[in-house]
Amino acid sequence: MTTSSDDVIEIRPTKGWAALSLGELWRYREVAFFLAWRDVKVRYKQTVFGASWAIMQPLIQMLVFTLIFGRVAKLPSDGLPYPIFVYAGLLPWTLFANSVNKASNSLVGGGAMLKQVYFSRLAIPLSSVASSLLDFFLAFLVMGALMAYYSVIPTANIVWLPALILLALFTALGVSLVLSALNVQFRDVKHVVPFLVQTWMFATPVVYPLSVVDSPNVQMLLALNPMVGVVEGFRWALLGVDTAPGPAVMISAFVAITSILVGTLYFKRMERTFADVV
Amino acid sequence: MTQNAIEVVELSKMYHIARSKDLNLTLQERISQAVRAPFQRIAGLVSGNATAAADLDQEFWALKDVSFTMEKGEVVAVVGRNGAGKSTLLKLLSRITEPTSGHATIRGRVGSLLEVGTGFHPELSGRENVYLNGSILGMSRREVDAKFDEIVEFSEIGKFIDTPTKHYSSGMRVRLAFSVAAHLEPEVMFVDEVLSVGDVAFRKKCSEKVQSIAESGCTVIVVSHNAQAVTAMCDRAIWLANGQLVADGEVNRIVSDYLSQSIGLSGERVYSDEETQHCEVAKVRAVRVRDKRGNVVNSIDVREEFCVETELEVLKPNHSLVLKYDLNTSDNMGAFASLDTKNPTWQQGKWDVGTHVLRMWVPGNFLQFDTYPISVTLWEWQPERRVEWAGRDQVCVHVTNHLEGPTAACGLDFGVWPGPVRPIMQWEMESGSRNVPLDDAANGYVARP
Repeated sequence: MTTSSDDVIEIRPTKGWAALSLGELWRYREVAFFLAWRDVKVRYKQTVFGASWAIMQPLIQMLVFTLIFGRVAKLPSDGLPYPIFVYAGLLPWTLFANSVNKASNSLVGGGAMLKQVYFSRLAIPLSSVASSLLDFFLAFLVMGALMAYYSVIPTANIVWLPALILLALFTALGVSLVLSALNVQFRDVKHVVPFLVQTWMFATPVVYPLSVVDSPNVQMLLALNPMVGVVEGFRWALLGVDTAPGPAVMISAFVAITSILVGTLYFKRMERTFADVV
Repeated sequence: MTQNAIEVVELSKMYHIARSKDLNLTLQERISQAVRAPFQRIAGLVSGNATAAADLDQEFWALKDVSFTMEKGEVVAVVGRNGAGKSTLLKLLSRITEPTSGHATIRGRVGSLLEVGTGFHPELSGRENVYLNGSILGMSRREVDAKFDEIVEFSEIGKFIDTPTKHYSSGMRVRLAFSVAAHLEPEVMFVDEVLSVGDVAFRKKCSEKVQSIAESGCTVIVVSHNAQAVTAMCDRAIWLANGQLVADGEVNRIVSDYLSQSIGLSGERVYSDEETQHCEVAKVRAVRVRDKRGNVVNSIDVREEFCVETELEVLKPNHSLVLKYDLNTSDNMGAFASLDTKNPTWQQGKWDVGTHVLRMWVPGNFLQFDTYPISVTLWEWQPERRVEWAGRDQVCVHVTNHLEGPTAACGLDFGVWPGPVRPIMQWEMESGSRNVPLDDAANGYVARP
């Protein structure tokens, strides 16, 4: 084992906006890993369908949306079959929504840990977000099947997909950091999150294409919602929708990175009272 | 290494607690306050001031200006009543919560055992939980790999290691959790009452493990209410009361001071005339506990004799008096009672007017490691049989632990030793037809007189 006699811990009150201390998060990376691994392991224990829930969730949603928004409301879908159009949007959206739902309750759920052991508290919401990735990859398999079924050949733009996934995760993390920290003090958050996530979905072009908005200026304004860039980017990268959402993605990326910075700062600021109030 | 392992300088922690509601508000004031409150909370929230946001504006110092230093390898107990700030101190030192002011420096890898089984998930198997818990406590995966067999063996979980922990008994969970924590190999360790988990056999194993960690050169702070365990394990104790450091010093002295204070008794009590004003025949002036050198003490080594002394002033001649002591254990069970039957004035003797001092000697190696409140009763025996004066729990004596050498009744540390007394008994063994008295003093046996 590593006997680190040079370890010196200074304990003193921190004032104002604390340093990010990401180095410390790195030290506790294994905790984040194990917490994410625990989430994944436990999620489908004692269920009949097991991990297939990860596939069924977006699949059933796709079917319902296709029926309501595709067939009944006849929303446009950029010339693509509606099921594959909406699924390409649901894929990153579900990743985002699950991450926010889980992570915003993660600190409160891990209250006992906050009170009893010290490690970088950032590891807790981070691990919740990371654990959503597995579901995402499972759901992605269905995307492959749908593309094969509708004979959609992915374009070379698919290389941008990891960057888009990262963008979705960053956005989710930024939002979750603020919400989870707030939730420690105010359990109002727990009641707000489902409603917030649902509203956010309809504000994001998941069931409709961004092209329903004619004005490019308004489109840019909408792109302040980072999930706009992500969802449009997914369709562009996977389905070859001809409107490259370059500028929108740039704006979204900028907002996402800002949100994660603000989120981390706020989290660090509130962190010092977590153990006292959770 | 000359540097201290732990330096704590004026460490303080303030909590905000809810202000008690003002009941004298008018209806109008109440309504306006109810309307304003959410906005005030939001304002507090936006400025990052969580406590203002939560309407908590009463200050409460859980810890106030506590300073001490510990050398590497020292084992220190923290004693004090519930709410004295013991757990707060450990939480601050393990960085679970931040101090309000003051600072502390800790040199070395920290392991804290504030509660066992943190992060255990019932759906995961024992094996999986060992890794999870290990990482939360600060072990790398490789360290857990290296220690895994040892952890499982210590926990006595055996073949159930791959069973989900929800099927474990609570005792099994606790054993596994403690086992992980005990194999941390920290250089600085904080232990909070975790030794009171599991059944008797496992508790003993835990306390031995903590002791062996302490003996391996680890710097340890222990919070415990078990005076026996604390005095056996530590050399030094820190006494906290209302968040402040009351005393810091040799463990037996601190623990006995703390125990006497917590039951509100010391080794001496002197009475004013007012307290004994209804006495007609004799007044009790003072009750004291003295060691064999005549010092007034409130703690005594288990091997040493001590006396309980009462100073009497006889006011009227021609009465015969009897003094009786009742010694109770700290959990209020009778240990023994004694009358001064050896006094030649017993029953028929008449006492002269003036001051008398009566002493009852309690032999060494007789009482248990415990705190004994002493009640005093003064009887008039003749001409009338009645209680002249009685005082319950007037003074107390704390009998301190001594485990080494042949004079220790149990020889070894068995943790809590039962019974109100702990005399050294004479043992003998019969082998075949011969009756052999065991008088090998070196082995802890006492010769037959």
